[in-house]
Amino acid sequence: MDTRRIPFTEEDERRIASASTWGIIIAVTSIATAVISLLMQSSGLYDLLVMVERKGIVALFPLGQAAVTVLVNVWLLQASLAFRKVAHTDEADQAHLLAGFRHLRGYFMVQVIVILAAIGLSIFFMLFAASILGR
Amino acid sequence: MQDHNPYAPPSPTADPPEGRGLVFSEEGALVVSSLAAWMRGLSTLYYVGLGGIVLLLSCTMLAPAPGAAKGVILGIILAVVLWLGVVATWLRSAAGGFERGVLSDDEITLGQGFRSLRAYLILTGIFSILAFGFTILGVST
Repeated sequence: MDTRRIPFTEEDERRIASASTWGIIIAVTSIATAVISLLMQSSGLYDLLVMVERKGIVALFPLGQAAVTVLVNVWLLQASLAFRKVAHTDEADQAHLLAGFRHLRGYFMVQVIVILAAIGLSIFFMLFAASILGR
Repeated sequence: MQDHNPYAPPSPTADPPEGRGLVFSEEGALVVSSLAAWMRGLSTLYYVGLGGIVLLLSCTMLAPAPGAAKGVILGIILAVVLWLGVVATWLRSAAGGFERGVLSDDEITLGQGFRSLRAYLILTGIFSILAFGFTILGVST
């Protein structure tokens, strides 16, 4: 483990701590929102299974959406906790910083992939609908 | 064995000057470069979304609608456009700060990256808290 300390200014350390606090707020509220929304849409596992039987795989979409939201925000939470250590401790700053950057990369990477997949799926369904209407 | 000479000129092993206290590994530099690329990618998508909304805005302006409703829709769209633009700009600025800071081993530039990241997280955080509040309101009603 890299035990090097990074000589951030006091002001920068305060900003890093503040950024990590906001990261934790976003992660916790987003996970809570995703879980509550999922529970509102399907009141229990039985309800979800009935929906899958009726609507097919499309019914699993809210579950997938919630799972991605939780995964992405767990990464943000981990990144924020690592940045908090950079701000509040003077040991292994570089190792904590790198761990934070790694988790933050996962957070942004999945967001980009999900947005691109959503755009791709929208275009696919629009073309599909257009081809059906054109027949 | 050589004794320490207090009158010797500064050597490369002497204390680094202020603002150069970082020495990132090659792996660390790769991680940050990749992080910066994904952050820039997301900010580009935000700009694309912003363009789409502006297009929608021009369509709304042309569509016939009652004055008050048109005003409300216009206000919401303008707020979203402003939010997206600011968020995308802070995200891009944070990506640049992190990359430059790590590649030049400069903690001051890295600190600037954190400053921009903090601004981005505050703006996103406000949105996240609002979404949470609306979800709770939806549960209680």
